[in-house]
Amino acid sequence: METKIIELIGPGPHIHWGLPIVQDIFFTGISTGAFVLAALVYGFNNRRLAPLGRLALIVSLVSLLAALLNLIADLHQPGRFASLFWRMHATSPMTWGLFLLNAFLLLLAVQLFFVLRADFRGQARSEGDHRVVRLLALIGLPLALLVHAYSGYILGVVKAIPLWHSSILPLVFLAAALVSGLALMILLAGLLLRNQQGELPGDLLDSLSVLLAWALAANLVLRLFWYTIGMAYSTGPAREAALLLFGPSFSTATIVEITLGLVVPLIVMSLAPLRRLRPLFFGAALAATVGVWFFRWQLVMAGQLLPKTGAGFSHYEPSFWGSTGIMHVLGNFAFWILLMIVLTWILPWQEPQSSHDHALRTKGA
Amino acid sequence: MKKTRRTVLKAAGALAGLGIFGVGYAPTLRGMSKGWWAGDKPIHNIYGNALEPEWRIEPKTGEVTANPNQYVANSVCVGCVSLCGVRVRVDKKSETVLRVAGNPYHVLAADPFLPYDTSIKEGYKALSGSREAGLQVRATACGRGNAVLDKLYDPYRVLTPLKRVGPRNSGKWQPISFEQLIEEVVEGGDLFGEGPVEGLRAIRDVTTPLDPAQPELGPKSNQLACLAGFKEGRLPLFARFGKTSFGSVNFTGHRGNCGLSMRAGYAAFLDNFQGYPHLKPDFSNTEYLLNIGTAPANAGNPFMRQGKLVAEGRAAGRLKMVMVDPVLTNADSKAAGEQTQWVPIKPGTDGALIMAMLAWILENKRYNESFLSVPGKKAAEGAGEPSWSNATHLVVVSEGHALQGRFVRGTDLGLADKEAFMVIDKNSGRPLAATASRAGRLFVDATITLAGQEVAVKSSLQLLLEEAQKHTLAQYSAACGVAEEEIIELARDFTSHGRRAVADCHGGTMHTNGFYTAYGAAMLNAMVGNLNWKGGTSAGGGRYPDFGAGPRYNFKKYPGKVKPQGVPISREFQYEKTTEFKEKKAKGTPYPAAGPWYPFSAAIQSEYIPSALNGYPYPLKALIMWNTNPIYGQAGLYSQAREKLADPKNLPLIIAIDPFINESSAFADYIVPDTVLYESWGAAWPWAAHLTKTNSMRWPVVEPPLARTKDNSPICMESFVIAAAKRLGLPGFGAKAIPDGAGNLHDLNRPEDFFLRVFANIAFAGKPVADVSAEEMALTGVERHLASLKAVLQAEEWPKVAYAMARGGRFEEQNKSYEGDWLGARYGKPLQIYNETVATNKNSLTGAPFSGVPTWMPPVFADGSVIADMYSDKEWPFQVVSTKSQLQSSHTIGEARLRQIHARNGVIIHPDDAQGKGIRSGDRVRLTSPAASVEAVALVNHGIQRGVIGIEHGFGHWGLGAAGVVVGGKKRPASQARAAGVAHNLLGLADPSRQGVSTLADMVVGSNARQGIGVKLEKV
Repeated sequence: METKIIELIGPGPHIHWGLPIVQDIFFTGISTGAFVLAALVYGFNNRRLAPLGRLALIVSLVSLLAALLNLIADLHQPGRFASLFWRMHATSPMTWGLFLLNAFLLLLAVQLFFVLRADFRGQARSEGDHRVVRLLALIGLPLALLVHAYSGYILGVVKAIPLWHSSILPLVFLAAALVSGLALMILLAGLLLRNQQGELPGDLLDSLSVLLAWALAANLVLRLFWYTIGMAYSTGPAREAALLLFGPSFSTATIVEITLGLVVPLIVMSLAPLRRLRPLFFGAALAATVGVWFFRWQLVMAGQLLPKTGAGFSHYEPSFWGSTGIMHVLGNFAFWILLMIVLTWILPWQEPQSSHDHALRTKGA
Repeated sequence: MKKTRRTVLKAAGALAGLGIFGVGYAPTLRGMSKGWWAGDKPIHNIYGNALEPEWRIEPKTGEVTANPNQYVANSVCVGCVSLCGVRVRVDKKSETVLRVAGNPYHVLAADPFLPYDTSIKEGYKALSGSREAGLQVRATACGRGNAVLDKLYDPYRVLTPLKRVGPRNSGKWQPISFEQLIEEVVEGGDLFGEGPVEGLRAIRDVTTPLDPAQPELGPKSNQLACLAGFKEGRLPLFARFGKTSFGSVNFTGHRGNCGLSMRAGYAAFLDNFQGYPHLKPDFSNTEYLLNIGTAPANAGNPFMRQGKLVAEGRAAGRLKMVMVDPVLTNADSKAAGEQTQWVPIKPGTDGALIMAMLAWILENKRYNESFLSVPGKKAAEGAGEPSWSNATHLVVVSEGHALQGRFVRGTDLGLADKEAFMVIDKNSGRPLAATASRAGRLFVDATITLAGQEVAVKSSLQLLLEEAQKHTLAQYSAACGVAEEEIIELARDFTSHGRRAVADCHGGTMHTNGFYTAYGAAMLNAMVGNLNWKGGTSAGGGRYPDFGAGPRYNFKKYPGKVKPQGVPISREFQYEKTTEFKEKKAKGTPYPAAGPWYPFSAAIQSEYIPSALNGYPYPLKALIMWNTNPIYGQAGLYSQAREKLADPKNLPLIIAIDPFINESSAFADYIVPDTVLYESWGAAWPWAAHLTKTNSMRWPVVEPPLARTKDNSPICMESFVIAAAKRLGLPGFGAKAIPDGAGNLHDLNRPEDFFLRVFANIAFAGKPVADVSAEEMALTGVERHLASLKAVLQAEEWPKVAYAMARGGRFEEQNKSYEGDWLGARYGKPLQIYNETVATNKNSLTGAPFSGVPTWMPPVFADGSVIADMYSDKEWPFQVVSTKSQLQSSHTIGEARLRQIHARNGVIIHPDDAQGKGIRSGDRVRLTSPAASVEAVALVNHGIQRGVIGIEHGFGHWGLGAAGVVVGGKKRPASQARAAGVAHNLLGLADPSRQGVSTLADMVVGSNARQGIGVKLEKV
């Protein structure tokens, strides 16, 4: 079967979901992944991860905000984004997503407020606040999972696009979200966190890498199921879609995304001697993060390159300028960095020692 | 210190972030700053700038309210040759066409289509979203059909008669009056200051032979030739003028430049070289469709209906479609997964693939034995077969026998039934008349006694088997580039679906060996016996009588009607009956003739201009081209003919009737403007893929912006031929020209005098249609013609004609499509496994007889010599083929909406071929054939056979506005957009085995060979 054919003569369909959608899914994934980390700290009192709790919340919040900006940019009439609130459609997953996203945003803000409130007052966190923080973490965990599963869901329901139309997609998305969230937190911990001796927090990084390894393994297993059952053993268009993934998109799909983004990091994260090689370790975390971005790109684009009419695949090259161009993506990353700098600047993002004790106490109690 | 540095770093990072964010989000912010609409506020909050709807339907009551500002006329699209029914939405105030969609009553626009007696208003309901009805009867026009209405308002349109100023093809014109036009073309004179030019009056002599030494050539009137385009509903009036009133045998449509090879192949298969019928699959029920050089859903005819039915069949998992084509077309579809298959093939070698399939099918007994054994009509009835073939009929094969190549008939055996064919009866094993046998032996190689003489005979199927076995599978495979296993797979798949497998071909057969390719493709259908079966092949549903002897008027007869006589200039005539042959035979060398003759061919447009320029078999004095463009559409003609055609000595008078100055009308001495699309009168019909009777009516839904005659008719083809005929005093025009059923004669002075009466025939055929209501006339705009209807037709006629006009024609009910497992409309002649007519004719250049069964030959020149021997693969390593798009026709480059979607073509090159020459997509390349050289943009793609270069048809114009012209001293500048891309026909070849001007042609039937042109490729 010929897989390298690009449509030349037919008036090919346009790519409707472009870069902003890739970027949106990437950032909601990080938001979910980071929140899972925060929930482990505040909901399940994980002591080893505690120094990252506040940073994880901030990352989750900032990533969600950055993600939402993409959805606005993707509108041809961006001034209308708010009309989604009053033009509802009960059976549309997009309407459900609107509420999920906003509920999660609200929860993140409140959570952060209760986590930090005591610090602003210069006091230790009250029991009441602790309970609120814990409760919000426990509510937030399923909400965060739903927020990202929704991204997978909204692609999965598109039956016109065979590559997307799979019930396993939300699960694959969640696994990818955990990978990107955890890998990014490893990078941030390496950048920002030092223990009292001024060294990298080895225990913390070890804990994160084990979590990441599980996420990577889960990702690979789900991919195996998806690609084999959904594509290799299927017929018709889904098979064509798979061919696209492993044919013309071989370099991004197979090399960058699966090999460098999943397999290599899994090996590094699983083997302690490799983890000790810090450049390799952080390099692997970076590769996993970038790999997830490529996974998003791959899925959103490749799905749309299989035309409904036409004997060849469509061709897509993003423009540089414009509301959905490459500059938009750079602007979106810049927005994320900007918010990260500002929030880590003005907020006490480092967990005070007492909280660790509190976490210990609670666990002992 | 450290802290300060960190602060500075953070601040710098934040600022940079802010800056990049600002730049990246500027477009979004700009959009938001413009408020709710992010731009101009449209007319309507929800529907934007969309037109006001044609009608509204009250959701609760279902009441239909038509838009009072518009009418919706059902007419016919002429954007391509399909002629789909369209509904044309017209703004009453401005009398402009707003938009075009499908006619819901029309088989080519909707499936299912509306029952004919549905009222117009009920029809609106069926098209609407009311109860989701519109999804059922989704009457559509295609992309091209939507866009071609631009033609009506094209700034390059010719609106008044034009006369050339200065030499031919110099692009300078002078507007003249209609009266001057008629005066000059009829009476002649020194029209251009270049000396005397004979007018039509001088040419019109239907008694004096044009060459007394060669009386078979016919009268002088044959020195006027009329070239038309395709049968779009107006052609019969033009034919009436040229053939039976003026009396010239030289009248043709465009077939020789279109798909004549295919048509001739089918004609041979269907035993009808008069009507040239052809077959199409019953797309709604076919399970396996093998397309050889045709691409349903991408191009072909009827374009839209095929596409819809194919999509439906593939989506349902019923239909598997295979495309044998050097170029991957959009007949294939990624989304259809395994329901499609593309078989890349070397150009011009489809015949090898077909013969290999036939050999495998025959050797492995995969054919439908019971069907092929049926020897005649009676036996077919007994066997429950809706058709039969001559597979078992015996052919004389004794070398040198007087009957060699002929069927053994009753008369040869002294039977009472003289015309009966003979078979070897399956039961008795003895010779028997086909009319008496229930089943014949399929493979016969025997001797029988004829008039006391032992004569060797073979059955048709035996001859086919032997012909197919002339080469081995390996040889066939090597010739066509399709692997042996794949050929076997195709043959096995094709014979695994009973009667529901169909093989079809079309323009991809326009090769020098195209006739046998097409005959062979058709032959595959005989192997499964699918003719007239549901899911098999159909010769079409036919139509109600229109231009013939109808129930109201007789267009076949009129006082003074002339029977055209003589040899057509395209030499569709047996060479052995010519004076030339007799003279040469007397000298001992009857062959070769001075040029190729095509005894059973028809409508070879491609031979007209070359023959006229060569003066062989005789010169022309005048040429009228109407809506046709051979200079652009005929491969090789431009490079061969441009100089000679520009010299009036070779062809003294050229008149073009055309709405535009195209590549051919540029050579004219006079251009007569014409109506386009929905401005015209006409009675058309789909040419295939409809199973029920269909007549499409074209009537002016808006007034054309053309200059007018004194009696206020728009100046167009009809008004021109009527005025010219009247001035010449020709029969069949003017007063008392059209007889009715009672023998009364009616006048023909205006187009509607002719076409409304044709409509009356249609409306009254069988059970006459109902009478129209005033409401329907208003809704459809037919009321605009009320005065003409009443003036031309009788009181009981016009309400029925208006009823049909309101629906865009007359259409038989769809439930007549099938009778059980058979098609409702069935073809009645036997399939020709062996065609006697073909076998008993000879190549006029060599004297070699033609094969009576399909055969494989590589592409050849007219004398049968192999092209590759002269133009070797080494020197000309690539072969150019044309490929069609879903959007462009040869005449639609002026449509801005089409160019918006797809602005230009390029040359498609396989990556392996491109790599060797360092060519990448977008590079400029030069293609050089033995005849010409063109430059184009490379499109590197895997969707093409290696060694082949594909060029999409319809681009690379140098007429139709692509070149500047001066009209009445005013300059009309060239439009670069209309010149975009490249025209593959420029590369077409001359035939070095012929004398004078020639273009490469099908060896047997003479059609233009535009495929598989050898070229060199280089990067510029």
